[in-house]
Amino acid sequence: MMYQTLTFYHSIIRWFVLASLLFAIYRACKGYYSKAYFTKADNSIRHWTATIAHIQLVIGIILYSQSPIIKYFWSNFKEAIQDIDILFFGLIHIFLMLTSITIITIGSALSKRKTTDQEKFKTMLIWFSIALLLIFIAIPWPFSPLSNRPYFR
Amino acid sequence: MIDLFKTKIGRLRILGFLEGISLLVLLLVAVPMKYYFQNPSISKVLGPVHGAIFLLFLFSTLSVGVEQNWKFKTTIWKVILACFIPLGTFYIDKKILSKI
Repeated sequence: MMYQTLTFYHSIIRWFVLASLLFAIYRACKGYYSKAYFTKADNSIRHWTATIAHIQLVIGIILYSQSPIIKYFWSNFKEAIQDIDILFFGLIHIFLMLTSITIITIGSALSKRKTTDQEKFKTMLIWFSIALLLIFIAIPWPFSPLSNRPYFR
Repeated sequence: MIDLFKTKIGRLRILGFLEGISLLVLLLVAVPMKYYFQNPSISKVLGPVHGAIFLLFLFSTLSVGVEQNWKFKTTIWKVILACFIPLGTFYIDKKILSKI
């Protein structure tokens, strides 16, 4: 029951994570190349992109502790590690996602610390783009070679 | 109190407080309940919650540390070590975070 609710939210919030990242990258790109001012709105987008990622992290971690797949993975480690679908949720997904949230967190904080608007946009653009790439790889898309889950559940 | 929520360092301090409390309850209540009284209900709920708060605290530390250019040698390692030790986050709150 708890587990199903969590997977539902973890799946839905993925779209918010992706949308906020894409929008932040778009604003950063536009701002950087058109030499625009780093506005209050840009700063909120930077902040909220990191916050949405952190919300997703909290749900993900609780989900990890409740999931029967993860329980199976850790109690049958030797066999489970051979199965790419189980290995994906046991290690690959959590490792890549923790890495990308680290990158988003550092990128957001570094961008805030930069003094010129150009540097702020550039920092956001680079760090958020790398994070987006990792997240894209680590989502179990229906077309992913690693593991598959539906777009909505 | 409300002011604490408005700044990043304030939110880090709140997380540190929650992290410290949840670790204490786990160690002093949930673990004895589970192993002496065979009742794992508290640790089942609190375990993951503590884990989530712990990770949020780590990422918050990373965020504030990068933003304010903390030195690893003087500050960051202490804050990170503190969340592994019972009562640790209360200590660094008093010694470091409340002074920033």
